[in-house]
Amino acid sequence: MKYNDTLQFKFKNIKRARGSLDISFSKKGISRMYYKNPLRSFSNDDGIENIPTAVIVNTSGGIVSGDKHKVCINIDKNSKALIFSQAAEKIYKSLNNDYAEINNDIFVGENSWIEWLPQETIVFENSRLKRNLNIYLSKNSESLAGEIVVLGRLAKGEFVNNVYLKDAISIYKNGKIQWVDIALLKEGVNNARSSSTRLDGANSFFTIVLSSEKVKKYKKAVVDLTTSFIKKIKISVTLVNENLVIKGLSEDPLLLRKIFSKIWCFIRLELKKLTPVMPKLWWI
Amino acid sequence: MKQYQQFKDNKVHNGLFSLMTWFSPSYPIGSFAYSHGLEYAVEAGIVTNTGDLKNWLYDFLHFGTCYNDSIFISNSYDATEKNDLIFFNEVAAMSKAFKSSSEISLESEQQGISFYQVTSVTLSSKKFESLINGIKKNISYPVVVGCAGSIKTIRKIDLIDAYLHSFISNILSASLRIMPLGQTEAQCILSSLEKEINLISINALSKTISDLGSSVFMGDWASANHEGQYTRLFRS
Repeated sequence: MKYNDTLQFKFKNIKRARGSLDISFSKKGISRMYYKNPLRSFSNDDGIENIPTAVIVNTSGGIVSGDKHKVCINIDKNSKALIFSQAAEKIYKSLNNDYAEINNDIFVGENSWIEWLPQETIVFENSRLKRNLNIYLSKNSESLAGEIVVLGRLAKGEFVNNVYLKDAISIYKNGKIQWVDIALLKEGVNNARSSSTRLDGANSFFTIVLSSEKVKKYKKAVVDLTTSFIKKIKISVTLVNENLVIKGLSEDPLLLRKIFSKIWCFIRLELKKLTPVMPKLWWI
Repeated sequence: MKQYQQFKDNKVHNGLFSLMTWFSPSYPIGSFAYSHGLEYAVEAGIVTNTGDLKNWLYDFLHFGTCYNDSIFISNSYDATEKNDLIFFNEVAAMSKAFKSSSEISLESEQQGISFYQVTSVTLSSKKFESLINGIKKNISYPVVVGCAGSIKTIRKIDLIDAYLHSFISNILSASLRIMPLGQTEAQCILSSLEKEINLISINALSKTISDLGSSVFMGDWASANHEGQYTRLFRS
């Protein structure tokens, strides 16, 4: 038996994580919280916030193939909430060719506002991840959601080639699908990186999607803001069915993260008059 | 007369005539107005020569719009064949929502509507009209094509082949107007992509909505930035 086969045999029946998290927000703040290891959640008070906030922690430190995590967030009507993750999510090497699965569902009541602000997802070489983020909006509700993906542990000199990454974001309005984005990278990431149609040398990318009935009037301001970044990263802004989609690509994940946070702060101030800062944990 | 009838009953013959009509540049769906983001890619210096252009098209075929459209056509075709309204609506809604930029969305929607308007007259099929009327707000080009092809009982693989051929030809035609490229070079690129187009069509036959996905990040970037391009010939 080859070394790899031995490993696969050994880990064939190893226990995998089934984390789940269920948080509800009402006008006053968090009204219900349920979690199952290794996912945990805490309310977070930075002392400056005017928005109920929950931070998600994965106590296992990362995700391996076979793990299945499920997060469900409910926001009542006339409420607002900010959900962010405590650290970057690490997707480890897959030993048994299985997928790691993450399903995040967010239900937003009428006239409510949600910010979904995870930190980076770092995919390691030979990792396999399927992730779905579904946001269900109701009448006059708005959401700001983002994802940042880093392809490999770059500081370690790891530039991934063999990974499976399927990262989908779907926005529904009154039960009808409005906008979908599915990033799909399968094996041969080196080819994608060297192609000027695909990653064009980038090792990290982000997507920010702002969904609101009033989104049209914010487009120009966001375009003006992003114009100041065009020399630093590849960035684009577009509007599809009431969704303002901002995408960025860069070789440098740290730079990408800084620009991501500038755009985030700008939108929350412009749209909701919320303090233009990221949670403190974001910078630790 | 008997021989003619035999010819007429032959699906492939029927299909060929419709395919040549639907995917001819003279079919009035306005394809000539779209470059699918290429105009900005040329302006930004990303696509500068024949090699770049071939690579650009290859990636759209395997990892971008063509790959996904082939899945939409295949599934829309199946839904029409089975008369499965729920499935058809689901495919249409997904096809409409899975758009990387406003101009790509416009390109697909406008061509879908135009294709429907002309084809509903020439096809005069009640089924076609009622299916497309049922997805009024979610019309997109590949879904209408899949539906029409199924009603006309064209072989699915030929339908997708012809669609992809016209998609690539249209971008090549745009490229002749926006970059230094000769007619013969453009035809060489098209000819070199024949196998790739066939491969995508064959693969699409067994693929479902869960196989959708894209990794033409820079292609999407070009298309989104095309919206703000100062002087331009194309609508996408």
